[in-house]
Amino acid sequence: MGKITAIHAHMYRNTPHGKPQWARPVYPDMTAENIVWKSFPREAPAHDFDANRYINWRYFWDYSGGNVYENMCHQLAFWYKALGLRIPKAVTMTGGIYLWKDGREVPDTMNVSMEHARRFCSPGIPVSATTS
Amino acid sequence: MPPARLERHRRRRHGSGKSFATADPSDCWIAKGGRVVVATRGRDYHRFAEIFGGSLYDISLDDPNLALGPSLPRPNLAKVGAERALEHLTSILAIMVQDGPPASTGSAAVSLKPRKPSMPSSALLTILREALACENVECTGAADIYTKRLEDFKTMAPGAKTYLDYAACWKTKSIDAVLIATPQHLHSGALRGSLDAGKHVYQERPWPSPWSTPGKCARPGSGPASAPSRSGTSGFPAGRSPTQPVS
Repeated sequence: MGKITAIHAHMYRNTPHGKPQWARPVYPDMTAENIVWKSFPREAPAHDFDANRYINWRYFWDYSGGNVYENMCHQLAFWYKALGLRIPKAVTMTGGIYLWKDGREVPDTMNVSMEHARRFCSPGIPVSATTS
Repeated sequence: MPPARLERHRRRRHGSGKSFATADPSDCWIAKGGRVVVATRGRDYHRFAEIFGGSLYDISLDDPNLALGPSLPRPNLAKVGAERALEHLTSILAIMVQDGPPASTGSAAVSLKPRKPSMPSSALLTILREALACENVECTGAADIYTKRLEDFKTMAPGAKTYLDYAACWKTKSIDAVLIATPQHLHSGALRGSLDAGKHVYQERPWPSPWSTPGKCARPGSGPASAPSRSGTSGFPAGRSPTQPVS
């Protein structure tokens, strides 16, 4: 294998048609009586009780970093291991909520580009990850 | 791995720094007093420990089965971490403020047996199941803000206490280690409080809530480290700033 100069990785989360991507069901017993809601935010901003915020906390910036934090790290871990990558020199990301306008705040589709320092190749390894 | 060997390994690799670092975008053990970190996946994350001034031990170093960690299921990591790095572990307190959907209630929960339950759907209960499979490990309690989940927990560890506030259990001296499986924003407080109370920690996140409490967990005793930017251009070297986001 020759010199590696770029890695392209894609991740698509398939869900049944009509089922919101990444969603967890709100159970009927997720009520203010069963959940100590005042203990949920801690250092995050306070909101009125919302079972959806509780169970689908990954949708909200107050509690989560979205798909990049929750999923992309696991994709990248292999390549960090295989190529000995370190903290990237630069990272850019574009994305948005293009499909699931169900109240979520984090993007459902995104493209992340990372440039890594010169190590195994020259001038660097751009790593691009697309999540949708 | 015997503690003496672990200590030698740690010194050889990282000196005798007192601070700790979480080291991997997955799960990790932090030993009591913040002296040793067990990064469970990928030895190349040592760089994180160097940056944050911590010390690190990677269980994949001497286990060929863990050589390509990302594909490993989480329970194995918890089990190996508990067995190898914390051999003197005697009790575990579980903190689970909702990570994963709730286990189903009803007949399935009733049929659960201690020590050998069916697979619950909670991330923490899965980890806890593996930890309990280790010798000398006893689960003494669990904390959650969702009372229904605590009922599920009681089927797994019938003799353990339950808490609605995880801070209430730090005072219990019989607890040696804490498993943390919470949403990201709750890891920071749980981790700091647990370490301050002198507990071993297994947590599911590398950087607990970096934007709400920047740096607090990365380097205790020093100023806040630079937090990752959620959006915008901060953190880019001069001359490399991207264009402004399109609104």
